[in-house]
Amino acid sequence: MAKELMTVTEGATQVQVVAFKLRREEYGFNILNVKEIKGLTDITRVPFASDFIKGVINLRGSVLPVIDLKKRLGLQDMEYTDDTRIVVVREDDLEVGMIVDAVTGVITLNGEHIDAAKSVDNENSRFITGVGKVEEERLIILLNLEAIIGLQDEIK
Amino acid sequence: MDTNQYMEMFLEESREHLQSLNDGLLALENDPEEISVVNDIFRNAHTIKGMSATMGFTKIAELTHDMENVFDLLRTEKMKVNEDIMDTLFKTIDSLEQMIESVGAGGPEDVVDITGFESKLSALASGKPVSEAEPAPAAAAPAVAAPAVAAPAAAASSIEYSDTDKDVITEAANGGMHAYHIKVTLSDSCVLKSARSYMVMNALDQLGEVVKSVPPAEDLEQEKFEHSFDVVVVTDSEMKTVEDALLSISEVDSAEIKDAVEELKAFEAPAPAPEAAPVAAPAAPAANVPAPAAPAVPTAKPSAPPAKKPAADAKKLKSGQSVRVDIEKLDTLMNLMGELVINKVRLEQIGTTHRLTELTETLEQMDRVTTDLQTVVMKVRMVPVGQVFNRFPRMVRDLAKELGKELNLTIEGEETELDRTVIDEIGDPIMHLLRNSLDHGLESPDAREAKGKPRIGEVGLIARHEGNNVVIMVTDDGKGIDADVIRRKAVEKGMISEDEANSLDDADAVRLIFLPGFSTAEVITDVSGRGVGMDVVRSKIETLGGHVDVETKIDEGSVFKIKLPLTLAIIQALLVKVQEEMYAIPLGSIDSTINITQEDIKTVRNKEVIVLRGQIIPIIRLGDILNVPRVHEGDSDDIFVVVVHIGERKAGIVVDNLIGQQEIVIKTLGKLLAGLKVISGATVLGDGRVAMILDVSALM
Repeated sequence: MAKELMTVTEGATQVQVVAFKLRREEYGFNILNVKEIKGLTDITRVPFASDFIKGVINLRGSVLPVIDLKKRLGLQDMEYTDDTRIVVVREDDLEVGMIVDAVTGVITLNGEHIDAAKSVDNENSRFITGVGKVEEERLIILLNLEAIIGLQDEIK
Repeated sequence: MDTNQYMEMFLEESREHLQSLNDGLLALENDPEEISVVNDIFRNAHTIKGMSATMGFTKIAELTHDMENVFDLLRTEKMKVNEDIMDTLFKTIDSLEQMIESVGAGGPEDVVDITGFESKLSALASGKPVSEAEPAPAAAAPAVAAPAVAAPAAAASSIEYSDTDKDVITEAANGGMHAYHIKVTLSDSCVLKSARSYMVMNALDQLGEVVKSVPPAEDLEQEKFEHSFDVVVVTDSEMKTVEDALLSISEVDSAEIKDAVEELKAFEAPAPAPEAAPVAAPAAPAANVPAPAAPAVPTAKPSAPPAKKPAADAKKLKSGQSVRVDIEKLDTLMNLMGELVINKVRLEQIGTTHRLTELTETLEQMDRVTTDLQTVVMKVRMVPVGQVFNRFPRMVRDLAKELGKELNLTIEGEETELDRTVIDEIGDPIMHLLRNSLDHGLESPDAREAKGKPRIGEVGLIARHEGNNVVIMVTDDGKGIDADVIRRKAVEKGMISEDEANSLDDADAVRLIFLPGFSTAEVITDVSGRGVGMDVVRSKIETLGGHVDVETKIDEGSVFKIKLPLTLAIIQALLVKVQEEMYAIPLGSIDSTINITQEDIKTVRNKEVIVLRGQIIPIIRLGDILNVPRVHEGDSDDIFVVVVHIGERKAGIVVDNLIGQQEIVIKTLGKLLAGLKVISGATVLGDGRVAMILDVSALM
């Protein structure tokens, strides 16, 4: 995904992201990675799993792991509301659900409006590929799905 | 020709044929007099040759061809089996295997240098036979080619006309058509005989009507002929047209055409000899249709036995009808089956909660159907373990030679069936255990003799059903495992303390070999005991939902016992509740469920136990182990205990509530959650929620 965004910045083409809220910030996944968005359902806790894995849900008969995205990014927890959604994303052949506070829509970002990740100084910078700017004040933090799913780093 | 789409099929079939070649050669090595084996393996080699030539792998085809020549000499008994020949043949098969695997992986075919084998094989093929040193490729042909050029009378006896044939021929002749008897000879180098014969038949079909062929069409399709075959055809085309049509087909060497009407006539004359030896010319006495020119009333000879089945027919092999199916399709089928079961359970729950008797009754009917369906789907996925076992004799032979051991491998229960997914995974662990038995279990022949045992050791590989499980055992009558050596080694490695070691009984001490860390390279060389990757064996078996154990007696041998579930997809489980969480415990490992009170729990050395029928059983509080969040405070007086067992060991799992027994469909948790301890998978319950399945062996 990092590579995808890179070509986007260079080529000044457009990228579409699914934007969502985590607390007061807005984040986005490349739309090509998003499979579906569904409302909150029963989540079954999985003993001994990493702490950022909230549990598993039943997605039309198959078992789907769900990541608590706020916990993964080191953000403060928040009560679930009616707006809480599970964004089902896919990276390679792995499907994962992400709990987000609200989905805000699909946004088209112009390549030149995306700053590379380096400009964001944050301990979680490895999860972030860049920041996109829409309209005047609206910033969307683009997430690195690979790093979030954490297949390459050891699962604690 | 684009052959890519056939690659899978080519690989799969080649592997099968190589396996049969290996098996056949082993049988031949054990009993060099058993020449009939060679006939079978000849066919295997031949098929590989044909397939690889079609795929354009000339090197594989050449090497197989050379090997075939040696087989031919063996089966015609022009050469005797000896060790040199066997070794060369085995090595040739290994090379073929490497070449085939290489092309399968998209690599070149000449991964091994085959020139050495080729010269060796041709040396074997040409050097050894006494006088009949014929050039290799011609080996098979002469026997068939000879009668073809013989006198017409002799040729006539190569085909047999039934009454109907004669009627057709006669009628055709009367109608002004020609009837020809054609002997088609294919070139020696032809590798796709069935295709060529099909083209011949097709060409003839277009010209007229094929009355009969010898051998019959289905045998032609299966290449059950050498290089030539006979066809009788009725046509209005001239002889020349037919000949041209046939010769235009490539690899047709010659098409000898005779007038069948004439032949019948010629036949009539000497035919009245009813005493004609039926073996030599089974056709002769068949009947006697009058010469077609003058259709007189047939004067049937009552003495003539109606020639019915040619001898060739009797030996016809009836192969079972089967279809090759992609395993993925079976997986999909299984998944759909799982969905169906989940939904059925959900409906059942609705029926019970709303007390809809009509629905419940209908569901009972449906239950029967789904159960049957499930059994069928399960059976479709079952494969005999023989598929895995059959590769071991060869491996054991090679390994025994290498290690200088003498042994007799007994294989039992190859027909025992297991789920395909298990079969695919079980090969390596068994191989490990066999290697281990050979390397560390069996003593050298001299050492055995010194102990008063027979020089030749016994190694067994046995599969059988045991309830809902399949048990696979690897046995040997070697030196056994010394529990004390294992104890010492485990202490040396710092895996357990001296005290712990001494508190273990012998059986438990021996089980230490399954612990990771025990099996290091050092152990293999230093200790006389076992330990080659035993932890790998154990973890593999356990991921398959199975269990491995060992029984051993010093100087009498060891038995490694693998216990596997019949299927991995749908199992019976007991659903239990801990606080608000639901867990499934596979029924296979449950002994019983009991209801106790707090007072029944005693402590022994700071561990909680209960006494059940005089046996002390440690208890496990599931809520604590799994860190289940506490919602309900305070323990109720009633405590439910699920008594589980793994092998001989038992434990009691304390839960808050027993929900009931249910069929569950096992789903994997996926890559992200792989390798969790205590949890072996998940399942979707009737109400749509997900429950974790407990891995009982990890709990204990």
